[in-house]
Amino acid sequence: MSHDDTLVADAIRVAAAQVRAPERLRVQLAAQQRARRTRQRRTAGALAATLATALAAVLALAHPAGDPGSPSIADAAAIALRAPTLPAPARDARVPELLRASAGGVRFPDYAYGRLGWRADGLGRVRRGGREVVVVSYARGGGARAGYAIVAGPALRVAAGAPRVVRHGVQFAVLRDAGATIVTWRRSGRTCVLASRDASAATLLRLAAWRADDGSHGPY
Amino acid sequence: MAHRPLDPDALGDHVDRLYRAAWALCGRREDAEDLVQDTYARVLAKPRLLRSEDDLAYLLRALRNTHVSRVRAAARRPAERPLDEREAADPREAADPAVVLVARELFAVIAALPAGQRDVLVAVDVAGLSYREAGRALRVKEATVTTRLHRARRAVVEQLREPVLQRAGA
Repeated sequence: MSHDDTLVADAIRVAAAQVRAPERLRVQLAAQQRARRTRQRRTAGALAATLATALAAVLALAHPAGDPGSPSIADAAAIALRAPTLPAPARDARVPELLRASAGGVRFPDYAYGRLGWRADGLGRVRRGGREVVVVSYARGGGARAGYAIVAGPALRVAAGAPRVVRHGVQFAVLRDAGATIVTWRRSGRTCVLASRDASAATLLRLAAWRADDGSHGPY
Repeated sequence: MAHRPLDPDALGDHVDRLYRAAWALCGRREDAEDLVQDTYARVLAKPRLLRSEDDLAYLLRALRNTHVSRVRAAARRPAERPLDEREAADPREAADPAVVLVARELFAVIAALPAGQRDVLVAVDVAGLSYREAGRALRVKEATVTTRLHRARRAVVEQLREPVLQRAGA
């Protein structure tokens, strides 16, 4: 930078440095900043309210109001995912796609049948809200687990907003609760709940809707 | 490259330098106030992420872009009668008249420079950025900053009456 350049630059800097923003501009900018903070708080509040509403809606799908004291679908799923307390039921030698375990006459399937690949590894029986809930636990290679619960008594209510699919003439509802994927449907008036924290909804639907190739039996 | 959010609450720290830069960009004090307000409104409208530049360099680029947008928008509108500086003066403002006089003449000359020269002069001599920061803010090479700055200073000397620079201390 030449000497002249330096002189001019210094003169401009000196002149510019003496100029200060007027007070009214500072006041207006402070108002803009306050307005931004207010907008931010409102946005955060609205977002929180939206999330709370969405969460409530999701929970309502899995926990719809039913008969007082009766378990919800989510309760049944939680029971289905507990560690089994009894040995696994054996396969029915006469009907190999079924196990020798039932709840109110409704038999449990053997998901190890064919190429399904899920082996029954335990059984559980509990009472909840005056109803018996029978559970068969299944495991697949790699550590994935699933539980199949059949709830005695009148069918449990499924929230109207839950996604539903129909396979082989049976309607299945798909829910999410507490990190678990849940598929529920009815067999002979009983509520069946298949739940897993490891398997996808598609896998659970494939199991729940399984039936023999010739269509002679299933889904179970 | 690491990003960091612009701190909206710290923007007030730069208001003086931005105001000077705005005045030098548009040549009129009242337009400068509007320009700074518009720039802050834009910047505050949503969260901003900065890369390597500092807050002032970012704000200066936002100021210049806002100025360009305003000039384009004004060109599409019917011409308005400029407000008399004396009418618009803020009675609460206790600026030294001599300072205002020098600044008015100086910034009017800077505002009339070709845009490329004007922008580097505003960035370096008015806002106080380094050559490197100015280059980043204006998206030009540092060598370009040097060349344009030299030309801009010479043009200012040629166009500004000698007494103004003398009053300013040259």
